[in-house]
Amino acid sequence: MIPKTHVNQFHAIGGVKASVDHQALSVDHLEVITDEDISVLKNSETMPVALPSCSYFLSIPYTPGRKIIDAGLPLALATDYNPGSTPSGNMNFVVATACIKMKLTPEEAINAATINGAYAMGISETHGSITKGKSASVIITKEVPSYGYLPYAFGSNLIDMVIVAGEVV
Amino acid sequence: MKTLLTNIKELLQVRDIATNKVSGAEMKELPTLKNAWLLLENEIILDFGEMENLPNIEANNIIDCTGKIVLPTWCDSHTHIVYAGNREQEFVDRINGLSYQEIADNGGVILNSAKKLQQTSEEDLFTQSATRLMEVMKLGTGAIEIKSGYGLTTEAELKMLRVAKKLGETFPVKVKTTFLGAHAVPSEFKDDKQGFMDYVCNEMLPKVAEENLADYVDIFCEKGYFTVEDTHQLLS
Repeated sequence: MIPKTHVNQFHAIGGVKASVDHQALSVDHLEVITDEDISVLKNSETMPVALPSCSYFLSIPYTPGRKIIDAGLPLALATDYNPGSTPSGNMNFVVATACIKMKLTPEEAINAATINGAYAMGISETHGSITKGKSASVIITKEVPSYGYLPYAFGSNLIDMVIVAGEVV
Repeated sequence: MKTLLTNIKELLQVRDIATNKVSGAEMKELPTLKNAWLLLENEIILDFGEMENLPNIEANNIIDCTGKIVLPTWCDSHTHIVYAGNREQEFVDRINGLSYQEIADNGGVILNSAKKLQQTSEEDLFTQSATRLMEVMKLGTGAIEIKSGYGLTTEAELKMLRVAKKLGETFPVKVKTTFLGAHAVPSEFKDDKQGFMDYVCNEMLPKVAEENLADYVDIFCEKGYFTVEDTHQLLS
């Protein structure tokens, strides 16, 4: 089985390197990340994944997404939906919080939550972009001025319809 | 069945199949088409383009997206949505001043969820988890990764992964599953973490693989949980 690991939530103890050594698909959390971790990731195919709703709920530091992207790395965003540290599965909130607290641009946050998210779960061939032959899975928003409005108006429900694999849900 | 979306104000994240991720400065680029159409056939995207070049298409449904933006559904690559009950009490404890670590030290956090999960039937666990999954689909999630890790016994871990798999078979959302046996050390092993690691690697993992229940394997590599050496042992 391919690894996808929880590392560096509270302490950097070498979990990033250990995961990369085993060709992990992703390393998740990274609220604490060292320069050495960043250089290890630069020589890998491993996707760093940030979970800003967890930082929000626990009042712990946010993953330094700006530093990760500025180092030339990719970044994915996910919810960490779980009963203890993140009782929320709202990706719209994750995208907004990444912009507000991690200083990602709307373009970066949308890329992180779609195409890079698909990579982090091994489904790039079928999900993550509008591409002929990929899954008919799309969000149709309400009338909005621009896509930057989606993270800007955080907490508003701006979704009109969701189609997943061709089915309206 | 064909569904045609017309007059889309802006269609986001239009890519060729070769792009599987974007890194660094590329992340600032979000390729889009303005005033676009999108044609879906059954489960796949058949075609798209700009309204001025809309061909004559016979569609079963036409959705007018005037003023609206269309984008691919979210890919949520890290969740633990298969769980039992909730931990509202810990939430209140934290408001009243306890830290996450202090709650963990009092036997809360993951061990609390594990106890509830072990006592919950597979059917009930499926029902509780399906409610959450339906909610996030309506919030735009079209693909989701689901981890085990609240079982901490072989039987309960297998139960979680079976529920996660069944969710993927029941709903249109794409589900990927991850075995997170090494999430926390259960109290029976509190003085014998190596014993628990051996149990995860030699007992749980082969059964998960035998039943083909997980796509990925995960470990909580963190002070007080699992070390780098434990990580190497599991991933080797």
